[in-house]
Amino acid sequence: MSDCSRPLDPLDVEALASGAEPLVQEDASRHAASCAACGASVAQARSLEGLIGAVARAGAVPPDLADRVLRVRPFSRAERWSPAVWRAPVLLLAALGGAGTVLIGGVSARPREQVGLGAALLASAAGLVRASWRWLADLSQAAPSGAAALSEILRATPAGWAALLLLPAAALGLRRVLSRAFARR
Amino acid sequence: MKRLAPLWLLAAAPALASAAPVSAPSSVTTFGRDLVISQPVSGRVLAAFASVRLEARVEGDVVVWGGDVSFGPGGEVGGNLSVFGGTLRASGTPPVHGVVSTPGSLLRLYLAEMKRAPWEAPPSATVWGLRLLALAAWLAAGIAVLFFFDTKLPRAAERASETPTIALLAGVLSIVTLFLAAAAVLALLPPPLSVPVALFVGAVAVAAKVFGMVTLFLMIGQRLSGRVAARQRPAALALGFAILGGVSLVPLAGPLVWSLASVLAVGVAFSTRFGAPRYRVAIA
Repeated sequence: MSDCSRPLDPLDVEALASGAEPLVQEDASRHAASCAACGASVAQARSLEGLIGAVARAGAVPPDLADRVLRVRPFSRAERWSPAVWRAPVLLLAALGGAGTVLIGGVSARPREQVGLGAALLASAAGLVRASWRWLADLSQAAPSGAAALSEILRATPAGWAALLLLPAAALGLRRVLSRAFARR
Repeated sequence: MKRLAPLWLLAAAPALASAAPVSAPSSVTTFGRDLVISQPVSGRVLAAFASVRLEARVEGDVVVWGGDVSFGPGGEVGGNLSVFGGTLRASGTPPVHGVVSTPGSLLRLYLAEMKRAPWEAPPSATVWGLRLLALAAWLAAGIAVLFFFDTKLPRAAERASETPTIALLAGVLSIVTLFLAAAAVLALLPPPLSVPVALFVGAVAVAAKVFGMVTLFLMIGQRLSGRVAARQRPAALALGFAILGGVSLVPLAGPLVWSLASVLAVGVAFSTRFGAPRYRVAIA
């Protein structure tokens, strides 16, 4: 919190630090000279600017820095919720989902049932939803008992010891590759 | 896998040695060797990377990982039948008293929902439809990941595009390491501990694949379109997905490309540490 009752706008702080004319408050320069808190803000900004300038002069800033910063910039609030931004993937998703549902509808739609093609597609879609639910339930139910069975199988073979012997070599190799990948510019 | 030899006696030798000559073996276990059950088994039949043919009754469960199950005359299961990553072959309703489950196979569950026996060959339109829906699920996952990880994902895409060879190598080594770790844990730790740890390793692998695949979609789309700005990311993601997903539907080559992309994806996720920043700057 600033001790000043009329703190300078950040834009004016930057402007004063770089020797430019203030944009928001005309008497910003006089105010900074008389106010200790705002004077300190300007001094801090000037110091930071000096540091950034020194780094740039030393050639440590890669030429594609701005491009890389733009690449990883997060969505703004407007972008995140803008339908226009997400239109392409959502349309593709709808097309894929629709085409898939129509194709699997062929299982239940027979020639004599063509009158009720919509009903057949709905039945297929409902079957798909139920199957997906059952698939998740089946998988979560069978996975622990399946893993326990696999454990029992592996116990009866030397595969576990062989895996344990090979594991350090694989883990060390992976660690080397990952550290190289992460340190690389 | 397809060679079915009467090897159950070999696999069941330890159980038979301690059993009375007339009693059925309590349990049969096999790893990598196909099995024919031609005498009744009083316990369970467990197989990994092997196919099982049942020609006699098994009182307990039959659990098969990475192999097919078929029934001969007299083949019967008193407990549950679970086939992970394999096919169940039977002419008519399989004689299973418990639950028949093929976890991981949405197609067979869907056919069952449509009152079609899961062991019957499905119409090709259904297979294509489910493939398209599976791709739609991938795209939905991609949209969700991009929405919630809007900084990590582009960072990972940028770094993966710098070092694709390293990412591929990291993918191969990551998969080998995870596989060995899961096998060692399952074989050497007690089941109450090994099963949760193995499931955790599996969950990590799945998370890496999902994050890495979405990163690949974005990377391919950005490379082809040349547009990297934040508001253009969803369109780039759709473009990359359309290309990789489209290739995956090509017979023969498609599954190979998708598998290679999956290996690369796992490598991308781990080599970029799920898009974590390379440097952290503390401002005093």
